[in-house]
Amino acid sequence: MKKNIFRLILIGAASSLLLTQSCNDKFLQLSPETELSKDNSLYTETELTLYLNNLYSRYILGHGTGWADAKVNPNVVGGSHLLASDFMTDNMVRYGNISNILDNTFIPPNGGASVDWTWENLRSVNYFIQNYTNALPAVNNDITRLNKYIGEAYFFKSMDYYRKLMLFGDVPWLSSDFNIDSKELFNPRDKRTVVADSLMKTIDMAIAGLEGVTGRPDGRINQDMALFLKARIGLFEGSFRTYHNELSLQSTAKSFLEASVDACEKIIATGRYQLYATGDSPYWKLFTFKKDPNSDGNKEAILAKVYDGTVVGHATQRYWDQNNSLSGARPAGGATRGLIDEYLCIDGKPIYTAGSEGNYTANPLFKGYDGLWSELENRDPRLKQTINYPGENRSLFNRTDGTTSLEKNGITYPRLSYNVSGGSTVTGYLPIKHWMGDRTENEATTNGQQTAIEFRYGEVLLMLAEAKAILGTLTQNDLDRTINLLRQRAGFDFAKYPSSKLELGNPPADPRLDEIYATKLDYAVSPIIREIRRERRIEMVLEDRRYEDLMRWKAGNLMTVPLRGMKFTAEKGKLYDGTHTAKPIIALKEEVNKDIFLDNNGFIIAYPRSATITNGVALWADYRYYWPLPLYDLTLDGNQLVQNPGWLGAK
Amino acid sequence: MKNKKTNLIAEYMNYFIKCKDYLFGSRMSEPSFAPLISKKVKATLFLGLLFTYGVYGKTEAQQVTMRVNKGDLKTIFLEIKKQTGYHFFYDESLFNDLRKVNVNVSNQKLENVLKELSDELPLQFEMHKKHIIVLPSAPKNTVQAQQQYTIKGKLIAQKDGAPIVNATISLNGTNTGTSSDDKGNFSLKSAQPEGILTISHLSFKSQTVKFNSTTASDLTVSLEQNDSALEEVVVVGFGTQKKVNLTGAISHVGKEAFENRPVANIGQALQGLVPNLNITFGNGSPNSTPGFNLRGGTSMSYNTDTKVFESVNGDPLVIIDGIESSTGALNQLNPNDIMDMSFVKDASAAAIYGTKAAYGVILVRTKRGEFNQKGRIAYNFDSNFDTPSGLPDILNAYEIQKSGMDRTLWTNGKPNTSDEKRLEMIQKYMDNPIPENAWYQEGNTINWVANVNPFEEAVKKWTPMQKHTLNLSGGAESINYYISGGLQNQSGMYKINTDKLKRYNALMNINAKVNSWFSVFGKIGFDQTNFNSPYIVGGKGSIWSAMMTETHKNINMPIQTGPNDPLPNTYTDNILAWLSYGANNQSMDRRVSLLISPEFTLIPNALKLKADLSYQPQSYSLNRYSPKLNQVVDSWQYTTQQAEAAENRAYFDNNNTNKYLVNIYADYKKTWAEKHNFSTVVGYNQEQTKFNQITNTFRKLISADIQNPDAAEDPSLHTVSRNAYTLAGRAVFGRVNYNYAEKYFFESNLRYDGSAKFTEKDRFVTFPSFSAGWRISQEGFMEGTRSWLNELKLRGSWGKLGNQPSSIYPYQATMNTGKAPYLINGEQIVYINPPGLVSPYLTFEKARTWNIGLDGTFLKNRLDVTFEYYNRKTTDILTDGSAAFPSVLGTAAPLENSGILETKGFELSFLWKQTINSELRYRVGLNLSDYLTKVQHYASNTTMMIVNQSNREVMYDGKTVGEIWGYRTGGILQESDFAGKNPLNGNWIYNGAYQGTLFPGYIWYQDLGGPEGIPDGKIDAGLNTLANPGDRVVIGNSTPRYRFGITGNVQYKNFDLDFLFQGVLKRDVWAGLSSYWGGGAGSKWMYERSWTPDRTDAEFPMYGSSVNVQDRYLINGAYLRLKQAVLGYTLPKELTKRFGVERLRFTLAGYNIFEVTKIPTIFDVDQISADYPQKRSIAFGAQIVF
Repeated sequence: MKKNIFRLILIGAASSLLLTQSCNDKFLQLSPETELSKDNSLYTETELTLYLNNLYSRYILGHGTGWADAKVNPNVVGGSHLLASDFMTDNMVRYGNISNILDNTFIPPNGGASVDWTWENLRSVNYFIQNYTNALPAVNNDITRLNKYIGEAYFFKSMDYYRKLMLFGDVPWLSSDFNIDSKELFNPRDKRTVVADSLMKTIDMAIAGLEGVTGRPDGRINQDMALFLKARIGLFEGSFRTYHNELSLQSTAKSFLEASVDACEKIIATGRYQLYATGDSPYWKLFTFKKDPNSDGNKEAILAKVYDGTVVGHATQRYWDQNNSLSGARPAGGATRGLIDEYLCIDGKPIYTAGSEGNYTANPLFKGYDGLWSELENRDPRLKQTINYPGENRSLFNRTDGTTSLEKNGITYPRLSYNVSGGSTVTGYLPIKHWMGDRTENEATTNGQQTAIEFRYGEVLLMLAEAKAILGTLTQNDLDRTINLLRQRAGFDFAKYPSSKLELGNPPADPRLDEIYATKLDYAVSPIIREIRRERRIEMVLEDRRYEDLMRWKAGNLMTVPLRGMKFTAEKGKLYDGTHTAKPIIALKEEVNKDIFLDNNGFIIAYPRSATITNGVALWADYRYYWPLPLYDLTLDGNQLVQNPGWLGAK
Repeated sequence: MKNKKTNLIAEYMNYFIKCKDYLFGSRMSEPSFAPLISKKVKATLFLGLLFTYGVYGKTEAQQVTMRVNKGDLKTIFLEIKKQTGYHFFYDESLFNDLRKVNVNVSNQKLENVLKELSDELPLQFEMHKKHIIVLPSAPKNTVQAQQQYTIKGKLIAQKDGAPIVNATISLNGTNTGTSSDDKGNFSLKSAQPEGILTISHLSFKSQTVKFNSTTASDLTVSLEQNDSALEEVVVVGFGTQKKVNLTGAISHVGKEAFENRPVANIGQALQGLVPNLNITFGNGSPNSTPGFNLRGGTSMSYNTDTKVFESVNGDPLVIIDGIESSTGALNQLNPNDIMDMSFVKDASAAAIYGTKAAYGVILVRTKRGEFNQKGRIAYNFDSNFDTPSGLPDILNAYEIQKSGMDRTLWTNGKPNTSDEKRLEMIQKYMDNPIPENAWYQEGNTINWVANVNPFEEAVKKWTPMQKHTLNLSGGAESINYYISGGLQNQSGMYKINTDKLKRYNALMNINAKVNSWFSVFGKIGFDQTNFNSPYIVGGKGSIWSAMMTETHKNINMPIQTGPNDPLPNTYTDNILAWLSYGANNQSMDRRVSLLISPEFTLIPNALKLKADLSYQPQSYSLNRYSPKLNQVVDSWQYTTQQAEAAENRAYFDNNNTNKYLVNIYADYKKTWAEKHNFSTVVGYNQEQTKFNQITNTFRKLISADIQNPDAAEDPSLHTVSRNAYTLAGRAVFGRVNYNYAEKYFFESNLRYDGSAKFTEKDRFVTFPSFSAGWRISQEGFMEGTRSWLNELKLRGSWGKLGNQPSSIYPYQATMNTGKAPYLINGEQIVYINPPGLVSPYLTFEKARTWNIGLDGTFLKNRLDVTFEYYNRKTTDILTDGSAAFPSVLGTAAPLENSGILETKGFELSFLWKQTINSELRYRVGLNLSDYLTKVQHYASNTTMMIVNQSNREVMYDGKTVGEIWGYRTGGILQESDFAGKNPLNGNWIYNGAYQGTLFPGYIWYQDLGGPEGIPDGKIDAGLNTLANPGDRVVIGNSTPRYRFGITGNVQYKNFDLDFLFQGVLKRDVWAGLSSYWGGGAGSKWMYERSWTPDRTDAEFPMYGSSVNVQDRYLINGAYLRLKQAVLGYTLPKELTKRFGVERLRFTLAGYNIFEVTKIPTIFDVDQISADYPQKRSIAFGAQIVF
């Protein structure tokens, strides 16, 4: 018996030793080993900086990263938002059939992502705003030392709400991050007036917080960037209220426009920025910088996303050049005749100077549509820096060896087929804005280095001119320091063609454009505003501005201007007859009524076989000034959101 | 006298030794004969013996008269001493538990009185002079050792007369026993010329044999095979149980299921064998191992690909030799080393494992040696040849081009001129397939027009696999061993840059009896898998899906340019170029299992204390290398199509997991009054797992072969990342078993479990289970059925088990950090992300299971039937919150314990076995199982959506898992269904319900949905809610229903045949794949069955037209498959003996041999996808035993 007891004690002792070895309070109390925990963060200035760093790639999209084919919703095509956004406007068409976004058949999505009803980024900003004062002890409770951090946060918050205001009108204004028991989760939308006022306050707080903060366009957020954003917001809301008379907010537009003017003036007053005007084609060159947006004396960029091609890169140039839409995700297509027609002739006057539809008097400088892209000649110099003129640059470029040479490569004419599986411009107007003619960059799959300019000085000038024009305070001096500076940089010769300088008292007549405005818009557009809008369309094409402009101008109907390409004349028929497949002329066979379809005047019809539209005329309805809210949110219990009128789910 | 004296001394010495043996136990190896006398008594006794030295002599006759009624022995002894003067020596403990006796004698000889006492009580008496020593009665035989008789005999199997090796033979009423040798012979000594032997063996029915002086030297005993499944002993948690005593749902598979099978891993061997053991196959890569699940839907989990919560069929807990392991480790074992496996399906026996066993337990034992077994060397060899079981038969380049152009033509388009040119050039190449014809140039661009069939180029028809296992086993009296080494060498199916798997297994199991109260089991297990496979660089996706898509690259580009092309013999952008150019993964997965299990016998036959001390290090390494690739794509210039291939890159992942586990448990059993059998296990468990991972990426390496971070163009580009975590758990567990006369059974298991995954206050939870059984066949009223009913048992169990969340630190909100894809002032920035939301109420998920089972054995044990019905309800499943939150929440809702899932099912199995004669016997089994899982509650879907914001199927309350929502097919549209064409845009005018643009050859759907069920004139998905699903209804269910297995075994003379059919009786499959419907490369099977203007009565719509999920084209996924067949031939022993070989067996085997099904032949029945194909195998094997 005793022996048993002895054994028991022995074994008991051994095992209790084993247990107590590992038996301590910490055994079951474990914390993450490679991640920060929430309770212990934002306590130092370094942490504030690192936290704010998470917002940069959320908000400053530039040309994207990696394959760069992610769609910035609700765009029609994927890829860099700068290039892709115009594909849902009257500026650009793509191959294949029309998108349901442009033919009034778009159905509100179940979830918010495809219309950008997303709130993750804003939550991240609000979390910072709620918690940044954790760091007060680290700065001896001197809150002013935290100003620049909160300024950055307010900048991003303004970016967020600016976009939401643009897309949805009324949106709930969230002032903190939520937990699941937050009552505000089910709040109704705040009125656009509330949102806009809050937005203006927020951007002002950003500007105040960033007082004294300056820096590179590719550096941290600075006060100039915040001023720029304020200018955009002010112009957007001011002009939206001016033209959307159904809101009856016209009388409140003024303060927004004045805020925009004020912000623009402040940026100009810094003297830190100027239009880039180096070389023969500075306008084209401006969008082809790599890595450093300030190189070559360029002082135009205010905010730019840069890439080094090794740790951060993209494939935008590759696909923009390849114009390849095999997967349908990346932008491919061509500019519309509507865009081309809006370019002035080199004398500063439009292509038609008098007459009426069907009987216009052409500008003598205008060479018409019957030649080989002759309509691109004698025009605003930006036209040939935006659209390829066969015989120049891109048409001579051999993308596979990187050479640009008529002799070596011959002239390659654009594909026109509406349904060729990739590589077609459809309209014949091949964009070269953002195109670099750089084989290295083409070869870069996910490691492209092309700089993406998000905010540039040129737009400041346009905003200033437009805001003042709407306010009625525009002067000739204003024009000279804005529009005319842009024209000068573009290459207009004011000496040779004095009329190419815009004069407040003498804007050129444009019966064609006046006719379009008269039929498509429900308000009158003064000639000077028409010219400022023209300048904006031309200068800012393919920079994600046109869609927003159409919305704030209440000009969605402009999308119903027939979408056309170049005139397919007999001369061009010969070019595309299938006999020119090697240099010096490369033009693959395009057969009428097979590859291309023409209207009665011989112009190529875009989207010729789409089932939802006829004759290449996209559709518009005014409910589309606001995007729909996702159905999922609308069906939630306790939800107080109301669908925007005209969309599925609206009451 | 001298002689006499010597004799006396010898006699005394003899006696002394005997006494000492009894008293001190030196020779008692069996624990049941542990020493019984305490030290103090021993000392007294020894002195007493010395005292009596020399006076030992014949006792004088003494007379005793006494009358004692229910007296205790001490009183009796005192009385005898009074009457006779004899002293008694005894150990007090001997009298414990002895009953009182009556003595009623008058003038009886003392010897007779003692004899009477010894007959009545388990005592014996030895008289020496005036001393009487009282001893326990057992070892009678040795008392009269000098009078032994030798009994010799041979044991043979009744069915075939084969010798029975290693049976235990014991002489009744004595302690004597032996075991049979390798020829079945045995011999033992008996004190008596006649008696009864009991012969027992695990595989045979126990039998008793009488012998007498005439038969004793030549006994031949034939034993009946013990085929009754109820006699099996199965492993349960922390112990074993006879199957007849089980009250839970436990299936058992023996080693025969794994030996010499044409399978690559254990999972493959098990499919179809165990009802409701659901084996799933991911893909057919040698490194992909099957998944295990018991009884269907278990829980819900977040799918990171689809970003929704889904019902999942979770893994059971795997216990290998008593230690928690994983299904991954199980698949890495050498199948030949498995002794047996138990599948605990219900909560009953699983509850002892608490929070990890909610979804069943698989208990695995590896082989061990046996005590007193002659050493044995066995060598197993298998050689497989594998071939893909289903491959798409894809269209050729011409057909692909033509089908696309036809579709354009038939859908109001016109094939463009470049397509026509292309078609012409493809034709030209196919007529004359020389490299120079594989391309033509338009402008500066190369157009490729080759006709590569990637499956023919890249997939081998036959691939080899070899398996070798060499093992040694045996044992001496107090030690046994099993030592095994295995090598598996398997080749994958890539014809180019073939993937190769090598598996090394080593196992050493040693069991030692250190002394009568202490034994120890030690194990060293080593399993290593090396896998070398081609690496497809980032951005190229899966090779298997690529082979069917992007046909311009993957069909039309040759893998390399031709020898006369401007850039000769250069890779293109064909996916097969990426397969072959030299980017590779080399992985090594090594698991070591070290285990020491000491066992202490505290009370013989009653109380044992055991422990498992285990350390399981696992290390994994991956070395990936992708060199720079120069390609020809669209010009005669080198280019590089992927950023990763623009430089020499190497990637290393090194991680290790260290798992420490301690189980300490005691088991105690006791029987009262022969009928009340009680046993219990009580234990403690503690475990800790530490994981540590470091990954390195080396970029821009100078040389392809030197993977050193310094040998790089820019060492600053190297990146390192680390991940580490610790898991810990602690528990107390116990089990109580009680049965009355093996007729009524009761069992309860309990575990008090704690996990580091919860906050201090929620950390510990108790999980109980209860089960009971009634062996009806043991009842008296069942006497009349004995002729045909051998066993009948009704069982029931109920239990509630827990399950831990899969995330490591679920209750702690963390802010992850990283490097942003953003540069500030040219430097990449590091960011901190906002924290997620965490519910403060986290706890364990709970699974409540009840189970009713019935076991029956009929017709002289020939037929075994088992039926189980179960219901498992999982509650507190961690899912998206108890409410749905609007998008403005801005992050994923915190997980809450809210989901409820219920699975019901049954298992039915029959086993029929018969021995026709000594040369022919057979066994046939059938099992059938089924389950269906329902989502009882999925909290976040308050609006009862059927798909979520991203159009992914989502769970809702009441959803049957596996249901397929789709449209009701109307039919294929013909021209006559249209009202002509619209002259403006040339499109067909369709007056039916609107469903987008339609053309002849397209499918139309039935208009079912609309307000109040009135057709609304359009085909759509409505609001995607259960209330308004548009025109969609539930058209089928993808859960495999009524899975079955048919096993069979026939033995005829030296031949044996073993087969396994397996299948599914009901299943619907929607194959929304381009490999099925076409679009990319497509399959001929579909192409030839689809609509064309000339084939308007086709079964399928226009090739490449868009197809929604719909009822007509659901695939009937039922099948019957001959999973395995093994034909064995054992050479006659007489023949092999001459070469010193004990046993030599050859096998010819097949795996996935054929199917009966309606699933198109381009798919494997278990893998309806275009992924790495499953295989069919043919195998040759040999087994040699020395």
